[in-house]
Amino acid sequence: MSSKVFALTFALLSTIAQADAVLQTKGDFVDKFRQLEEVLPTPNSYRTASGEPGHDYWQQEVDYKITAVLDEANRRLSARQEISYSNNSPETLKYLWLQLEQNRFKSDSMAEMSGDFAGIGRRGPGTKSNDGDAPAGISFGELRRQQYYADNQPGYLISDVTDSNNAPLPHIILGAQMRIDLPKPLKSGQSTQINMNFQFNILEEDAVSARAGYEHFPDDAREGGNDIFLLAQWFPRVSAYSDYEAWHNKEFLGRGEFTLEFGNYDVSLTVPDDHIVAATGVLQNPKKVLTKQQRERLVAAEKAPRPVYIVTAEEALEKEKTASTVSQTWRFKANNVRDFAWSSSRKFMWDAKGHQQGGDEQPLVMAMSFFPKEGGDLWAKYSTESVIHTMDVYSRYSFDYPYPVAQSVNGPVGGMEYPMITFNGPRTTWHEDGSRTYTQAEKRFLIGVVIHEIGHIYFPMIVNSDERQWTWMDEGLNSFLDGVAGREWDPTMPWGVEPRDITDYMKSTVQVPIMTQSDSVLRLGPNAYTKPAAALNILREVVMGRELFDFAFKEYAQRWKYKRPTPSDFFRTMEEASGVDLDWFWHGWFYTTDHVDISLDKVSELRLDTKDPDIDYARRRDEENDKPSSLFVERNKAGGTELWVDKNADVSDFYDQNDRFTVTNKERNKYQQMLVDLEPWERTALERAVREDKHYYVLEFSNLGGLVMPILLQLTYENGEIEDRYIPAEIWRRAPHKVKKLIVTDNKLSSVTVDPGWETADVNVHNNHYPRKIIPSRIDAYKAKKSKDLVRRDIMHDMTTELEDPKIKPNKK
Amino acid sequence: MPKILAVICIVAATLTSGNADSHEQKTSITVIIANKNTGFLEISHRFNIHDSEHALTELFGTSGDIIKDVSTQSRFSQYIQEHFALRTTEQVPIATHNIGHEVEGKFFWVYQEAALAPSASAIEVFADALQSVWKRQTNLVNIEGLGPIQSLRFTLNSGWQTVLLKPI
Repeated sequence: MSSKVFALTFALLSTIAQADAVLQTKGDFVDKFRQLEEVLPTPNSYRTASGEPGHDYWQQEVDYKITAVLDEANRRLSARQEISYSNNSPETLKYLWLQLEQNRFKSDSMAEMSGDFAGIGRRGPGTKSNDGDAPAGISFGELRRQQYYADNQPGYLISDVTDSNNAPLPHIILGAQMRIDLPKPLKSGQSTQINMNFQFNILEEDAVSARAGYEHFPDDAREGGNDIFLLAQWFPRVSAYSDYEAWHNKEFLGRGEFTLEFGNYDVSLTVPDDHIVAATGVLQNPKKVLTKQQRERLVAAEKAPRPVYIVTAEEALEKEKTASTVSQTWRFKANNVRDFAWSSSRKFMWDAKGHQQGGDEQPLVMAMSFFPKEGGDLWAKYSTESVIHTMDVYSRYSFDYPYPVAQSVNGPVGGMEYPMITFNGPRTTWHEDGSRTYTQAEKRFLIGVVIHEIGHIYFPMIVNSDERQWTWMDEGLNSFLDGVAGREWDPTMPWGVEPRDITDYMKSTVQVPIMTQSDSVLRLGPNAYTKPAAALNILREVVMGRELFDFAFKEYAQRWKYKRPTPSDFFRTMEEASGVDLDWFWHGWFYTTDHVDISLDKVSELRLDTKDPDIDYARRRDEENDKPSSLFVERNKAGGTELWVDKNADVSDFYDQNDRFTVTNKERNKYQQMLVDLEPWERTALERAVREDKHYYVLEFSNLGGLVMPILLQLTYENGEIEDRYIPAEIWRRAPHKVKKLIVTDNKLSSVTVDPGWETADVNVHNNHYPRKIIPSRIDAYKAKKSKDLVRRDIMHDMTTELEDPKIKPNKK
Repeated sequence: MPKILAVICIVAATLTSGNADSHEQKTSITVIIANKNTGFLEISHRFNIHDSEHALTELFGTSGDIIKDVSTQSRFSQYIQEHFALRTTEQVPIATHNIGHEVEGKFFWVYQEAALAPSASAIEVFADALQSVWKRQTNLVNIEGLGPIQSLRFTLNSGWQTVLLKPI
């Protein structure tokens, strides 16, 4: 090193740590920034490297014409459907695969045959295997399920599978799938038509947990009660056929929901004429099935400030008393949808309010809710308004809601989505005095679930990702956005996913990467909903910033509106549209089970040598004087030990007057010569640095969790000022385990905190502080709070309360 | 206690209707931390409010306002504590003490403490809360402060699970 390089003197303050090693056959280097292209599928003319549909992008179209009859008494559906299949792929197809989701409940389906007793694979009621001294058990719910299956035959009865000429088509049914062999290969650009009849017994949702079915209300005024019917995954549906997977013939196991092709639907539903039907699509024959008054109310609702009843509570209650024996047919058409669902009941109240969103595509959307008296005021107040709020917010982040209706229906399903229609479960509670109330949690649940399910109409009903393989692509994105919408509803309610909510899951040792097939995920909630939502939240608020994130996210939504994106299309679009290299982020958050734990190990304070001996030597003398003196010497002094030099003061020399920091002229001359030898710009730089006398600190960090992240620093100065600084994640590129950062400040630091706002999902905040802080454990903090709470109890009074037997209250839905 | 029917054991009074298919989480997280300052194991159970309130209806046959109603909170807290247990590898119960519970945002928290013998090299954990309500319920237990973090995942048939401890 030449004399022109300035030495820095150290005052050390702390210690260190380290992490792990993968992929590298020598040493422990891990390339956290490795290009994701090595993992993603090779771009092609269908899907480009930018993450958008390529110039040869194609997808199939499947149109359905269905006529269905609901046999209310027997809870059975009979239907005929004509399927028009358009082969837009470049390939020739010899057969079509169909999904038969109703067969998933049959005993020979893969879902039933592979059900693990007391395992986690199957939805629905509980079972319990024997464990040592505890016997095996099944719940009452499982008993109900078994008995339901014994008494009812689930699954399709399919007949008359023919072509357009009514010629029978060979077909085979395998569990919950069906293959139909075409009379001749269907070439690229050709269409074919298939007809079939099908029937099935509608399942009791409460008994089998099927995402759809009927719910019985035995307490209604009508003898025998009434039902609500929710029909979803109800008709044999042609499987998706894509450029990246060909036939998506993965049998329905009950968890990974579905993906289908877009198409046009013309569906006629024959139901008792006192029923109200809500369905995907637009009602084609309102004059036939609605009264004049109902039609007028619908028109009034278009511009009403609050929802308008189309069917009032009183009207619905009146209809609950009897049952019509006459049928009528409701006809719906829906264009460019990937599925069709519907509901039917005489119990439904119906309210509507127009959402005047403007724009060219769909200026008016009718937001509507259908609910029984059990939904009550909770639904009347908040369901339709939540539908509109969702569209208002989601459209800003994606595209205008493109369909003419958006509906929320109350029934036995907690929350489920289909094009233009959602099923939502929250209800009021009946009391003995006949009143109905709801808790604050139920209110949050209603608003939250309606936002979430209506949000699903955007993702994945329009941005058609494959739920059966990648649950996170719709649940994760939608959970992120429902948090955005919720916080715009009322930020005092606890909405959305905060990074801190996911830390305990992320540091656990039992988890799988987000990029895991839906049916294989160990814990679907945190894996498919919470973790990806937290990741996107962090991406937006910490890594990219709102402007870049929102632009890229909207670009993704618009690129893939009515199309079929894969994870790589999302990853690529977010990078390409934002200009931010996010390979490290996708890799860490989506392809690994790493977590965030960045430790601030050490802060070293440095000071620039001025090279001026009169300044530097004086500083060193001060540093020396600041050190604590020797305990030995101090004790000698305290003990009265008299020093030799004091006793012999007459014997002294030059060094008794000049310490080792005394500057000589020789050193001064050398300094002056050094200044003369400097280039002019070097001299200017040195003079300025000496004049400013900045503070230099080296901060040392360890990556303990494995997941690289930006380092959010909060610097607190001795003068009380606070400053935030941002170190991009790229600092870890060539040093994935430990990094150092030099910071230069005007003032002297007193403390440094990493991620002070808990924005990065750092699982351990204890090592985020320098100097270290004593952070009370959660229970210590609770005890401190509780000690105050306890004194507020009136124990003297409450002790006098008589003991009572528990009261048994009648219970009603 | 579960009702006994013939050779099978009924593990729940009623079973859920209306699973929230696209919404509810049906998961809980319990963190067991060895507090070096007190020498106790600190146990924090976190349940989602949505799940908790619906579970109450299924478990006790009555609904309750878990956000506001103190008795509902106490009842659910007691239920959670009854469905969590620690014992030694010799199957001797390790007593847990109720510290309290609270609602914080989306979550319902229950706190317990337990004394752990310094010589313990392993403990057994049991956590089956809400699994009689929803078979999908998964309870994650993280053990911290006793060496590297260890996790136990409790699904319906998990029973007791053993975790080897490193010294504090």
